[in-house]
Amino acid sequence: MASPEKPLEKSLDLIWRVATSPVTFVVLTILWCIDLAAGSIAAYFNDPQFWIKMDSYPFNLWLEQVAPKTFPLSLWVYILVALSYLMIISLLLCTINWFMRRRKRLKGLGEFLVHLGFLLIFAGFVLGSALGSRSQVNVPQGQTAKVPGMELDLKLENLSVVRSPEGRPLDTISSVGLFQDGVRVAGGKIRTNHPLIWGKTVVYPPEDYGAGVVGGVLGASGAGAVRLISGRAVTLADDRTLEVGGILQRGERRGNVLGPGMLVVMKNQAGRTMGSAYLSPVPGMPDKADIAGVRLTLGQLTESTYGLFRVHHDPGIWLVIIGSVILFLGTFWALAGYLGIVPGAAKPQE
Amino acid sequence: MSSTIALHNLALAFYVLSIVVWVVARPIKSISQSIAVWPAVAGFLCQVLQVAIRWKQGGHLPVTGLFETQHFLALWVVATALYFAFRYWAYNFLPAAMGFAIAALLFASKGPKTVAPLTPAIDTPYFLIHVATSFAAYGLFGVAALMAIYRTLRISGSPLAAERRMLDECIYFGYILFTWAMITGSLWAYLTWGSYWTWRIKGLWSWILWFYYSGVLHVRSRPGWQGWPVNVLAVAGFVLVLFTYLGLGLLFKTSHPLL
Repeated sequence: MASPEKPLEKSLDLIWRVATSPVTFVVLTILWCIDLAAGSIAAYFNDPQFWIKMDSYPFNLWLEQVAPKTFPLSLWVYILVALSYLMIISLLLCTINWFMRRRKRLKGLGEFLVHLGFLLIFAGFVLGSALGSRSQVNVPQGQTAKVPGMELDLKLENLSVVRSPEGRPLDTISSVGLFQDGVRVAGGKIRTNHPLIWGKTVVYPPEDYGAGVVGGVLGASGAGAVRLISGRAVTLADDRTLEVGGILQRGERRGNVLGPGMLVVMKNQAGRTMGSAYLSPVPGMPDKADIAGVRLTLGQLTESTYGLFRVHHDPGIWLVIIGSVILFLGTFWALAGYLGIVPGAAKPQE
Repeated sequence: MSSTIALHNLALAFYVLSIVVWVVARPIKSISQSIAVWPAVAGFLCQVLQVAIRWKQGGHLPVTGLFETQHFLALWVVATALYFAFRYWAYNFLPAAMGFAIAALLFASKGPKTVAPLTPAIDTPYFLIHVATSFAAYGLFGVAALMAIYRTLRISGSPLAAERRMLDECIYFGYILFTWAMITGSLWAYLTWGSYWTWRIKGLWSWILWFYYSGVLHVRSRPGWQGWPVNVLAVAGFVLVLFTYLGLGLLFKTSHPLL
């Protein structure tokens, strides 16, 4: 007579075999591919800028803030996330299963390393998506600007344009410095393919650059002349601050607003916005405004060479790099195994 | 440049000759079809020389632009076919491989043939390794699809075990090369665009391709998947390759333009 444990053992054994079966992984992979294929094409035809917008956020932030607004068009992304986690669970169980069964032999070590490398890359991606940040910062040449969302300041020491013999701009070379609490922590020249890397933070070459408005001189009632520069807040006598919230260059237009001009933002001690106003010397545009009892009058706009830099912080990047190295080594070992140089995984027989 | 164009045309002519020799030799019992290998070898050497000249002229591995990438693709296809011919005596496979190489070289003719200097965005070893391994993998996946068709039609003339081995080698080596392409491409994207993972359509479809062949590798050794299922997977995989390479480039604005 069968003992009462046996059906339970059988069921658990069946669940384990299904969970660790390569076929389970393959089925999930097929579903993942179908979802991504259909979703990517549908998203593109609905909005060709969809991917560019998605790339400007860490993934988790996009999922929290943007995806709900585009639902149900973003449904496939939620499905993709769910399938990705299921795939990873399947891969993890397969890898554990391999390790328990075959760890005493080197047979299949290459494949094991490939799986392990991929798991680390995924872990790094999850970490980077959850805790990473991506910012843009407009820095006038010779000035320092605060990187939004990070406790860092970026200084643009010099920006020069590399041109072809015909005069066509090919690249830029920017001398930049990165500061934390007033201390220079990294610096150097950056150009395409050669960003400034400081641990998990990377400063990329400017997306946009040129000569243009970077700030202006204002008359503020009770404070006299105030020199505002993009990226730097100016503190007034009562601890309120003024800063540049945005800039329109000559000929630029946003709705009814024409450039050149700048959006001036006033914040209280807690950093909360008290009010803002767009000031411009263009006829028909306001050159005066009252914000929270302070009369602001635009004197003149300040023009300079500026660079619009991207600064990315990815806490998962080292896991990704370690995972990539392991994956890369795994493919070499697998190849050596396939060629019979080292013990390899089974090859198919007809 | 004229020497590389001449070598391009010569390679094309040798590959056509290889097919002609194979067809002519087929009904003649006293002539072995293996002689079709030699025009293929001559064409291959022309291509190698052409790549070497362009490499010397440009100062970098010539894998930029349609002309060079298609040459690289054809080079891998022919190299694989020659390896099959010398290792497995798979001479019947030559016409298909030559046809593939001819198609790639004709497509190459549509691209600019001048040796262009590298622009700053692609002036990095990651780019060169990424493109070289991508096209090598595409070539191997293409040969795998052709071999699957041969197996299905039973026209390879090789023993079943050799057929299976050839198909498997193409998928396995192709997958490893494609993995290297994905790693170097991701690293390049991290240094250039700010993330190793971008939500750009070409990158997404490349991951679809990588996962697809990951799946194929997982099932290819299982008893139920031997025979026709793995043939279907190899052909479907190459359809996916064609769409990822050509379809996306033609239908969408991508970060990887065709020309």
